[in-house]
Amino acid sequence: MIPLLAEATSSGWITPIGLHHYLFLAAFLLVCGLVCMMAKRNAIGVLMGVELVLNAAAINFVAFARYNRTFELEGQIFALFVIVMAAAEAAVALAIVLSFYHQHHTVDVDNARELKG
Amino acid sequence: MTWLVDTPGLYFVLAMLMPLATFLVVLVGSLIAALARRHNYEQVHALVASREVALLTGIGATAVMALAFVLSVVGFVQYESEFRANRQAIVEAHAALAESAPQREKLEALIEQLTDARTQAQEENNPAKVAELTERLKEPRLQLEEILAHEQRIGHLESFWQSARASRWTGTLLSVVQIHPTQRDNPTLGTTLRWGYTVDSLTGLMFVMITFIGMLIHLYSITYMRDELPPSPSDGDSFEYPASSSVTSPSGRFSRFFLYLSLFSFAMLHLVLADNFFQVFVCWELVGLCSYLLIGFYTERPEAGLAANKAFLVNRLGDIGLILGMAILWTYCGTLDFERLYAQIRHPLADAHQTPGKLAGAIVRAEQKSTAKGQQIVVSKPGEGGNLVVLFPERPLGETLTEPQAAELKRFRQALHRATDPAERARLERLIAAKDPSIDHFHNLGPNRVIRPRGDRVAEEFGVMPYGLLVLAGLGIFAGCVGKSAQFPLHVWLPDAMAGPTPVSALIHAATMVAAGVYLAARCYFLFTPEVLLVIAYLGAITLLLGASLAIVANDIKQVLAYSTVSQLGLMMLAIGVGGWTAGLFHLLTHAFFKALLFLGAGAILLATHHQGNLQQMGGLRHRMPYTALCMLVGVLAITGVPFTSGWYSKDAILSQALGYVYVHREHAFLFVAPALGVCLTAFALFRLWFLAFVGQPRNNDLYQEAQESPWPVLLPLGVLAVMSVGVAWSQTPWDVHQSFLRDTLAQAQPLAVAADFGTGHAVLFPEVAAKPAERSETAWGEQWSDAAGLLAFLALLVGFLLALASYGTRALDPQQAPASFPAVHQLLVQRFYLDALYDRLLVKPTLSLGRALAWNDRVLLERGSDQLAWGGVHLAWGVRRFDLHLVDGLVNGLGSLLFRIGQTLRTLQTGYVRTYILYLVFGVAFLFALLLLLITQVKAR
Repeated sequence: MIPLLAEATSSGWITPIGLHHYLFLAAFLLVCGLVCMMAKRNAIGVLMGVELVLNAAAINFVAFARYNRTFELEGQIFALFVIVMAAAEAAVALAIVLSFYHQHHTVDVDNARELKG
Repeated sequence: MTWLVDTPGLYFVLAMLMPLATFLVVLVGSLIAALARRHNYEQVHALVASREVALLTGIGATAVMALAFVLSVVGFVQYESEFRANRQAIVEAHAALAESAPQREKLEALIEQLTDARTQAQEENNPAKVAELTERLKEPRLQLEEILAHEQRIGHLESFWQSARASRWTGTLLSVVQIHPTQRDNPTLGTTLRWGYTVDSLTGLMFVMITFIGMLIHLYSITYMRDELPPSPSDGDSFEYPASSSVTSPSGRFSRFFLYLSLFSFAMLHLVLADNFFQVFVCWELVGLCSYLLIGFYTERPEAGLAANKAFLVNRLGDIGLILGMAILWTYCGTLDFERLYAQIRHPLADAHQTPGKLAGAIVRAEQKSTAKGQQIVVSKPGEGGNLVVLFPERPLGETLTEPQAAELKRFRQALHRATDPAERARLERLIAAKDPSIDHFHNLGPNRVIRPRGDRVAEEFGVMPYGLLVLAGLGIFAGCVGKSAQFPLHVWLPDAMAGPTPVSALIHAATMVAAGVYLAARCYFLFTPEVLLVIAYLGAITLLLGASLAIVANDIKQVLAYSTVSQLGLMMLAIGVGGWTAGLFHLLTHAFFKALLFLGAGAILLATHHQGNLQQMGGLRHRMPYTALCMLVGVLAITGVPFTSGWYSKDAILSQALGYVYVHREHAFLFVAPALGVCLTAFALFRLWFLAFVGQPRNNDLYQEAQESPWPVLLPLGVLAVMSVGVAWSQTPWDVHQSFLRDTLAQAQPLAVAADFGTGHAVLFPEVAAKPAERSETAWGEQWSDAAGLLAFLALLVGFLLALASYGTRALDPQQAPASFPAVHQLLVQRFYLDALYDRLLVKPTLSLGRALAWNDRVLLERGSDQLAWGGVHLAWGVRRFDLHLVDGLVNGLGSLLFRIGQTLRTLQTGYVRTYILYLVFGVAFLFALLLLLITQVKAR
């Protein structure tokens, strides 16, 4: 396999994985996460979207850390931060969802219409 | 304030103020009663409006008038004694002056000589001689001054006598208005409307007459008006307001009568006391007002109200003329005082030397002629006319110079006249200029004398006035008298005025108010030119005949008396017109007495017959009321002029003057025929009255049975007036018709103007002063023919009496025959010569239709027009409102709704869905990211 891959790469039809691939991936994940946030009626689903967005951001950080020697440490650290923060934020968000459920007896976000103008 | 307080004047003023006091007291009392009733103070009202208080009012008013009478008599007596003393002094002073005349001439010559010598010595510069001559001049000058002091004293006494006023109580007691004509800078020309009083014999006599008759009539009214007293509460009922308890109902009217009567007395007395036109006019209107109030006293009778209106309006018609006359006089003479006007219009008695003028007392006419020296104003001869009247300076020129100064000036002027040397002339002119040459020495005017009137009329200068305007002024003032004294065209109010109570008719419409016109005509005699006097005489004659003829057919007792009053007033005016000033006023005074007597007698009859006054219903009353019948008979004798009654003296005086006048002016024979005929008609009318009322078979038995003699307050005045009607004109020799104490007293007040116009001169002092020679003097001829006149009058009287006796006394002739034989004449008389109908058609109906037309105009045109205007305004307001609503409100509301819609739109953004908010978030982020990208690429591109 490896001689196959090495040949494809040297002849050019398998390009090496560059930064932009990771950025596209992160962007794609971000958009997915956003769409999930926007489109899900379930609060947990919205939170899942939030997780996706955060992880996309983490991927972005790691990608820059890998492909830019300046940030190779900072990127990694920041990704760690993001994960921790995502966890904390998920905890808090779940607490809110719990309180929401306590009041509305459902997790359908469409029921949260008190601020309708 | 220049007060010359002399006691006679004070008495008269006090007498005049007494009725005013009564008026004010009664007025206050009625106000208290009215207020008490309004505010429900029952006790006060019951007290003040009670019978006792009302009676007290009447008695009090009578007492006050009696007091006024006493004061008038005292004042009059005092005045007369002072007057006679003064006159005596004048005569003596003149005698002394005449004696010293030759000495005076010598002294004057001596002084002149010495003064000339001294002047010459001054020229030669000889001081010693000058001193010596001055020394010698002193003695003769002193002597001359003594003599001249005599002259001055005469001057003072003379001026008093000329105006025949003993006390001039005047001065600016009340400066009402100060009017200055705008073109003239001289402040003395402005008129101050003053309040002043003046007293002379005429005033005194009028006062005595008015207060005497007023007093008697007040007493009479207490009984006559007793039906008007409030009912006494002793009728048993508890007090309650009378059913129709207002001021106009019978139960409250008694005091009101005395209120008006007092006001009238005050106004009349004030009129007589006044010394200028303004005051006379104020009181003129006031007496007219009182007449109106008193004629309309019985407010429940519509004819009383109509008669009151008629009286007042007709009176006012005359007042137009009066105001016109006053305006003309004020314009040209600058004053309204009788005294000052007299001084301006008539030639003064004497010049600065006390030499009487030939034209003294006459109206001097002048004409503007072109002579060698240009346009000049030249005095005309007495017979010729002239289109200007000379207005004399009020203070005869030269008075401001002392006599020695005037004499010196005169000498200088004479020297100037004689001198030929120009240097001498210049010197003399300088001397004259130094002695104030603006003042000329006044000499009596004669024909062809040149007047130099200044443009500004100063009191020291001559003035001129168009003759036509003086005539107009005289006619105007006489028009006022025509209205007040019920002369021919304006006589229509007096017969209707009998709708008032009888005491009113007696006092106002017989004795006093209508006499005010004659009084004014007499006071203003000096204004009247010969044309005006002729008009006065003719109108008087026409009125005389008119009144007497209408009296013949009248059936109401008061109407007969009213018409005879009109007739007698015409006689008085006639007298004034033909030069019988004294005679006319004499008749005024005697007429007051017997006419009041006749009216009061008629009132007594009315009381007896329960106010039913138709002569055809009476008859034979002398058996029931003998005392009244006798008094009335005396009155009838007096008015017809039976010998030895007061009427005889006055009528004789008038008729003789008239005859004298007609003798001189043959073309005016009517002016004697009329009064002679008038005597006949008057006699017939009044004896008819007496016979119908008192003699013969009673035509109405019920009336006859109920008639009885009235109580003493009615009978006492009748008796007193009867005595006065006979005796008031007597002198010490009653059988002599020319001798009368009253007439002689009046003659003292006669102005010089009368003597100048009609003959005999200044009886006391300067008999030679006469504008006419004796052959042309009406007065002299009148005196000569007086016996003839008297005889004619007596014959006329006899004819009238016999006719009346035959028709109504003995019924020998049938009184119905005359109307049957002359139906047209009878109808004419009964319809009052159709004059009332004429006035109605000519004046009343047009005025009423004009009034209706104007009312229609007001109601229909103007009101509708103003309604349309109002509607237009309303529509305009509506339009504005729409504008307001649509535009202004629309704008504001539109703005508001716009904002609302914006808000509503924005509101849709807040769906409440979390997912939407997340979407907005994402869009925002994407937008920001795009923006960032754009900016970076742009930066990169640079």
